[in-house]
Amino acid sequence: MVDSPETWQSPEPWHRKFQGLMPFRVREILLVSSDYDAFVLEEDGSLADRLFYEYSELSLSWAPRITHVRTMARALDLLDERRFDLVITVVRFGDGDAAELSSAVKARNREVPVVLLIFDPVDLLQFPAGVAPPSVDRVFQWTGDAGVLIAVIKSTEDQKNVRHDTRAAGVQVILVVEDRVRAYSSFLGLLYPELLGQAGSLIAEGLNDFHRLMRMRARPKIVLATNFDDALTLFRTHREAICALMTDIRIPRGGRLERDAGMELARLVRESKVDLPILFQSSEDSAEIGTLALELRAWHVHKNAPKFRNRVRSFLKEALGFGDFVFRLPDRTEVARARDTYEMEQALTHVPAESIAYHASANHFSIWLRARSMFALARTIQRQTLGDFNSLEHLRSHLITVLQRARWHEQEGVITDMSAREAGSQNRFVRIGRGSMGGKGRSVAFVNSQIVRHGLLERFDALQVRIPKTVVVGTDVFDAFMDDIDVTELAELDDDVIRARLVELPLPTDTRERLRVAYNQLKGPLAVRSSSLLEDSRFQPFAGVYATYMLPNNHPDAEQRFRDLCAAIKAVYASAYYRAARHYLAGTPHEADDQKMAVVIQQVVGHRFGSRYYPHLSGVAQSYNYYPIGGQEPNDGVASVALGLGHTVVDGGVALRFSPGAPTVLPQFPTAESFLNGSQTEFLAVDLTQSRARFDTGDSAASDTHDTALALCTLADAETDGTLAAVGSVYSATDDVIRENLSVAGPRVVTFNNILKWSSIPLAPALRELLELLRAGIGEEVEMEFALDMQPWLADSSIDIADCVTTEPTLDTAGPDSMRSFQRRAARLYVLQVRPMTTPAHNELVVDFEALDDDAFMCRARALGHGVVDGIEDIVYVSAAQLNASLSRGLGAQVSAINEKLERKGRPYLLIGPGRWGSSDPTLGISVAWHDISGAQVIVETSIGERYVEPSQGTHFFRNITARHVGYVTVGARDLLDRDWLEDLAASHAAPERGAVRHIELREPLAVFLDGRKGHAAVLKSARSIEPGGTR
Amino acid sequence: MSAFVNEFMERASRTNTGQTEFLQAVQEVVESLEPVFERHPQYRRQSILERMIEPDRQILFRVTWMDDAGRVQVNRGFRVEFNNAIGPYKGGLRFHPSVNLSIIKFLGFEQVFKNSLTTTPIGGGKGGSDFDPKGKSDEEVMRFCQAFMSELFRHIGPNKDVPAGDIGVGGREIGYLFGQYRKLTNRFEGVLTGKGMRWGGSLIRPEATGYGSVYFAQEMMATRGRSLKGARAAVSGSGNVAQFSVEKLLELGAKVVTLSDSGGTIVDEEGINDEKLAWVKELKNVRRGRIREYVDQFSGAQFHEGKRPWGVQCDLAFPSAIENEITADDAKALVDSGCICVSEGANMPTVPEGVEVFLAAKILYGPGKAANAGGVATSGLEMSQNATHLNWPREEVDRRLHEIMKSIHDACVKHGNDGDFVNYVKGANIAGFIKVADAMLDQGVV
Repeated sequence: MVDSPETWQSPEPWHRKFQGLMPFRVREILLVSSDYDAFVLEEDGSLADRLFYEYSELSLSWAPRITHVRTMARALDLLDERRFDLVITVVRFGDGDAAELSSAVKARNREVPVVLLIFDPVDLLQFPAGVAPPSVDRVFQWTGDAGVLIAVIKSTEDQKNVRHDTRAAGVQVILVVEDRVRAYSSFLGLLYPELLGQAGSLIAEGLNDFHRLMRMRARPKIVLATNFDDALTLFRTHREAICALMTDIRIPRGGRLERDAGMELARLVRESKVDLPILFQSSEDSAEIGTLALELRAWHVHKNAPKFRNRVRSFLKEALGFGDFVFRLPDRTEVARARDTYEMEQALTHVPAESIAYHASANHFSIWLRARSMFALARTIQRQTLGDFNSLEHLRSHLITVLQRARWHEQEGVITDMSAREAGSQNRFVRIGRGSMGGKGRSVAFVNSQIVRHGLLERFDALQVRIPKTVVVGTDVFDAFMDDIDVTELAELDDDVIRARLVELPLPTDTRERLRVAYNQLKGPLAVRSSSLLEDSRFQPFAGVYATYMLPNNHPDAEQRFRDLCAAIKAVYASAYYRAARHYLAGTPHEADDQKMAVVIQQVVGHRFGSRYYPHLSGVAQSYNYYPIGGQEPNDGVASVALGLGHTVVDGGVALRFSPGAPTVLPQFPTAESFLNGSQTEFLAVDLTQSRARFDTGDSAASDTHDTALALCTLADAETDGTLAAVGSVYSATDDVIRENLSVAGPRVVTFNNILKWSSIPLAPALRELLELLRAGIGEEVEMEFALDMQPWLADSSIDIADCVTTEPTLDTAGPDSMRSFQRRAARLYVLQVRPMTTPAHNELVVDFEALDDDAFMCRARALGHGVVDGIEDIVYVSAAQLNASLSRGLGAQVSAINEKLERKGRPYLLIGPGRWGSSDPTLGISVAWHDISGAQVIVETSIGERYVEPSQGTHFFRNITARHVGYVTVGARDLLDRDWLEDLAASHAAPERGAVRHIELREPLAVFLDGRKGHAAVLKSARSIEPGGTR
Repeated sequence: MSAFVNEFMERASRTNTGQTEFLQAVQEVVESLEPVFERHPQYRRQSILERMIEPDRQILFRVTWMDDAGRVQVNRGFRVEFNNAIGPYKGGLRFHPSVNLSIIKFLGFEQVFKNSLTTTPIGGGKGGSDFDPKGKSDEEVMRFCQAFMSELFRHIGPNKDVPAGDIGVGGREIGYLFGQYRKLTNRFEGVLTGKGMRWGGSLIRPEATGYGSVYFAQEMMATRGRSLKGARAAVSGSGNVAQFSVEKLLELGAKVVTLSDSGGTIVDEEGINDEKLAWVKELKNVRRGRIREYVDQFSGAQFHEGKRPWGVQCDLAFPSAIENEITADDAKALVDSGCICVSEGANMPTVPEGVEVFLAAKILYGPGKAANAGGVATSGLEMSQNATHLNWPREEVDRRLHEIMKSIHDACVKHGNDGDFVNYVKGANIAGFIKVADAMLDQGVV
């Protein structure tokens, strides 16, 4: 017979009981990291929303509060001052690392959890044996998705609360078993938001924020095990509360990775809990696994499946009762649907009895109620079997009664609130949709915040610093757009077909509407760039893998212009599935599901000059200069600038390189005449004769870039436009000097003298300050792209700006007169994007040069360049001890011939020779031009016989060396140089060439270490002597 | 090596210990002049060589200046006044970190013969500093130049020693040096050459090398009774030297069929005319584009990517681009195609094996040291204009340049005649020496 419903009517209302749940809450987080890391973690708006539901208290004071510090010293001071519930650290920060910090934290209070966030699995190699220090409680990997931060906070809470909550209120537990940091970070980052997302569906259930909050506290807890043995222990501990098992099939057991230990675990679990929903994850997709899963009545999902997220979501919904309750007949025909308990009450009155019997026999009602944190109710129903009722109609009326009583009970004395929040929009930076903004979008938002925070807008006379107007379309739009598309099918298609197919489909309606509002604020040509979660993230330079489009945005029909923009966004989405992108992804640790795409739409900086549109200057700046020459200081950074659009600079074209700390020092141009050979002669502009964007060229992401909308222009064009006057000079052949006056006859050269030398615009100080600020903010060396628009500043010159399309209103009519006048006169420096500086290896290349002596044949020499160069299998060695004019020329010709051969074979080599390569004095070095040695990856200068030749530091080939990241090494008298080893090699391995020039083909590759920070270099005799982490 | 050379070098090494570059240069000169000494015992008796390798004066001085960061920097300054038997010391200043006494002596020693070969009345010297203008700001370069001149000014003068530019010393540095000299001495005089056009410089300087190499070719051809008119010329390069070579060749009636740059060679069978040359000048000097664009502009021309012009049939070849641009194979190809005259506008454009090919084939081969001496010669012309306080019009400078190139040619013929053939390499080596040596003999033991 039926028990009375009183069993679930506790003396206290349910919510009072729930108030005692989750006794450990993370309210105060101490984040120890650089500014940029902090910004990355906090930036995501949707994170705030999720935290709102999770953390709102009755008083509506939101937690957790994140306190961010950059140094260990400050962190420890704060820990002494007040209580923190969680310490999150990154591997390295200002003055310490995670190991030092975590032990210091634990020494103060063992109970404070410490979580280490890594950005790449190789980060762990910083620690002995590649394992995080024991004082770190858990390691998570940042995947670029804010979900990971929620996972960090929630899993910390769950770990502490699970025992209490299961006992106090029968809260359920999901057991997750996964051993890889990358995988569980990503999985928990997906799982927690799904669980919290339930809060949304509970809005109808909860009558106000408080009720919703209480329900949230009672959501299932997740416990994580990283091996079979821990998993079994956890299962036994929480047996009653476990409501689902999600396990990897291949997990460690007894310290060894076993192929199907996960399967074995499921069998054991299944024996004790017959109905437990089980989900297998695997990296392989075999029929065998499918069959075994079927036998165990478990779900199986392939980790790299394009619809992985959807499958997990479905599992949660169906197995755990999330989402609507769908009434079905035994043959799965849907007969009704309920969003909340009230609707279920209503539905129960009319659905066929056989449907009720079907769901009751499979415990669906109790599962659904549990998922809504209605544990007592669920327990009551679960305890009753069909046999307890006389008839199905009896069961029906019982269920209705139980639900009604519960509802009445809840509603006593409660007021329902119906407020809604709306996010305000920003002017310069607009975001559409939720989800992440991707690496690029986030970086632009960060720069914007820093510019405002540090008052850079008005810091400089005659120069404003800002970002271009930017609209970011968040990753959820991509998700929504791709939701109905079978991406596995896309993988079979040609790039052009993928693009054509996606461009035809409509963007979600609400996105279109919001995009249209944002679009109306944009003027002039637009750059539409991908902002993948993977792009521009640390150590994974995805830049250039996905498509970027340049839209002239000048079609007479506004609707057509908008359609082009939408098409460009979709074409960017399509590029995620191009062959090149798929191929690139396969070579990274990322999984298909990580490939979420946000899109950044930026106004192109510049002005219209007839049919051309371009800025006076574009450039890239890096905060650290690995090739410092003359008066340049490494920490002042280095910038490369060119007239026109920035593609020239980014693609390694001809640009002018200078140090923002010493802008008048241009070592690559030691003479006036040298400008003729090394300076810019052409530039790129948006071609306004084309009014439509074209997406139909090229068959790969590589060729599918902006080129169709660009025009290659000459310096004569720039002179006509009046832009050359701002950045150009004239070489006077008669006087052998550079003159800044274009009325002088002679070759035009782009020197930027007016800006850099005569400071017409304080570009160098502004770049220097920006680099310093962003370096401090991001906590490591940075690289930024920028563009300079001087038109407002030139406005009172002879150039008629009435003819120019201004990218934005020039005057702030609301401002005071002085402000208006300032704005009118000021040039504008726009930061387009910023990212951590990529170096060939990790920024901190820690090499003990002293210890390398035995393995190296050259060590502690003076070097330009940075990183590890390995895989070199050829040495070209000139052994001459003395040089004279004719010998020098002859040797140069021989080197050139070998160079040509090796370049043809695509074999980079190590070049070693006496004196300065390419010296204009043949007695001081071998006479070569750059093309004679262009295949060398590392160039070494040794002394000539007994003479020590002052290193030229590579100035003669400077542009090529810097652009191609060639290592440039000068061996001094006190440096180690094992000539015997080289001579022995030459004797035994050299190809048949005779004489002083030897081409040595190595049997095993050698490695070169270049430490740009110390200016040291070492060449190891064999790359094999490098142990992973051994030289760190 | 003969006993004479051996013995001489041994002595020289003892007194110039460690001066590798200088000793090497001395040895090359002594070896090339050995036959002269055999024929003219007077030079040995009068110890001409011993006197020649010992500079008249070596000035070493400290140069102290302040860098942009306010730090005091110290460099070493040099001026080696080698020989003024035929005119005031004349030679460039080199600012480069490799500069030391040995290098300055080596360069000064060579300068004596180079200047003598121009047939103008200038002696030889060289100077400089281990200062590196690369990586320095304009202000630092100026402060250094002023500090350098603050000592040098007392040793130089228009009739004493007239420095010019060299590596690291261009129009900018000459300007700063001249300004300081003027300030210290309160004299505006021709104490430096390579000055700006508006303050004492000479016209035709950019044109001199190209024009000169053509004048030299004209003289060489005349020795075989031929003129340039109607001759087919291959010119390499497309910079200053090449452009002015073509200009002068057109003026003298030759047909120029090639030009090149590092991307390749254009061949225009119709010949490059004035209009086309003007277009090339615009391309290279103003637009600074690639020579390949020529074929888009002028139909009928062909572009040969990555090739040099030496496979094209021609009567005259003007290597005007870079060092080592004529290999032994190129030289053979030129000779085989019927080229009879090579005049080097560039510095050392032919590899030594290539030179052997030209000499063996007995064609008219004008080595750079003679054929491109027009550049050095204009320094002499600048001095003459300064001395007379006159600025000659370009025609006058051009006329005198022509005269100088003729004289150089005559001197080479005089000393390089090998029976039926003029060896201009030998002629140039000897002519430069004889003029100085004879002047020294004339002026007694001083």
